[in-house]
Amino acid sequence: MDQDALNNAAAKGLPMPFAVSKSGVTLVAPTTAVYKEQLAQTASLIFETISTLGEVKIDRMEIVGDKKSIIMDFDAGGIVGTIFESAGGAVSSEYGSLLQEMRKKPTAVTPVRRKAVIAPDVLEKMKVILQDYVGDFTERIFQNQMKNQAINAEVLHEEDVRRLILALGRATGMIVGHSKGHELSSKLIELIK
Amino acid sequence: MDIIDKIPGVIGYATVRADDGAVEETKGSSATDLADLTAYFSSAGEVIKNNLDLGEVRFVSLHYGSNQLVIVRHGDRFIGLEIERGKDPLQIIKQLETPVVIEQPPITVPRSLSMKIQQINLLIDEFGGENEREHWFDLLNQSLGLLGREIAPVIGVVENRLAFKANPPAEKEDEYNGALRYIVDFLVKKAVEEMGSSQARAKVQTVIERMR
Repeated sequence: MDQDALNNAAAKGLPMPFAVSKSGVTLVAPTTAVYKEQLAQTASLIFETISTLGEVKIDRMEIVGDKKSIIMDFDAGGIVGTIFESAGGAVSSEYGSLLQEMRKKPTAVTPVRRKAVIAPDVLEKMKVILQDYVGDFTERIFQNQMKNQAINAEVLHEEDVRRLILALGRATGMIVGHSKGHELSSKLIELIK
Repeated sequence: MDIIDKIPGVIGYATVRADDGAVEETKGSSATDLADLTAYFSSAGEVIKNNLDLGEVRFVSLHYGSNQLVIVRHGDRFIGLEIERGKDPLQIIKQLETPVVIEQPPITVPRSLSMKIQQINLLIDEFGGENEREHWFDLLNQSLGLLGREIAPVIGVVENRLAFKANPPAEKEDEYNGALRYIVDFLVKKAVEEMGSSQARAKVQTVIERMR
């Protein structure tokens, strides 16, 4: 993310765009300059809260106030977002699209590094192991957790697979007991070591 | 908050006290820890509101995976309602705020689905008896979260019975039937584990007879 990308986003219709990297670098469009310090504090609070809740991969947060609202998209690099005037409580879907577009710009200040890509055949191997624990429920539980965790089977990043493993361990634990769920998670983790 | 049990589209919810963030209640079939999310993000929302001068918060919405959590202030507590991603939070909030005014259309459920619902309710009656019903409702909610992902927003435990909260779309009848079959299998499997196969089989037999 760089200043040009923010300015472009503002020109395209994001009222008060901003970006904050995990390392704390805060960029704001001229319309957002007055909030720069507060946005840095806000981002720091959100990074902390998300890290406390580790297991849930939150990718967007909206706060709708009766005066103003804020929408923020999160990824491994940090936050991009915009403040906007509240209009009856609705959050325009256009803001979400513009934020995604803004994020796609080449990164200069906040390089997004995701952990290694894993070969998709790991999913089939995981199912074979899962079968030993949940039998006939295997395919259903597997597919439901893939959807719940929004996993893209075509491009699997290590962090996504780890999240899926945690979710499968939890789901399995509900069916066959928590110790079995942990055992399953440990076996599945071996597949990506 | 029994009123929330009846709102179509709500997969699960948690209530926390606004003054100290203590969790009061978690209900429904969500696979996510809604209580923690509600407690942490209601508090974060208040700080951000003051920081950025947003005015009174109408709602906070968190998006994760295929769902979103909508957090609203309701009297002296915050309620976190899990709904499907992309659904309009305002519609759910409206039903929470004015439950009496909203007229729900009568719910019509195809026979194949209503029979499955009846079967599940009878299984809960038999397995839960007089003293273990809460435990079996917990298992039922777990199974909805694990195996009934597609059906969870339109179905739920309302006044101690599994029931549809909205009309199931006709084109989804087969899909929903499939999900309910898995839930029946799950409950029977749990019964076998907890009470042994002969007692579980006897209770399943009683259900079959009650359905004739």
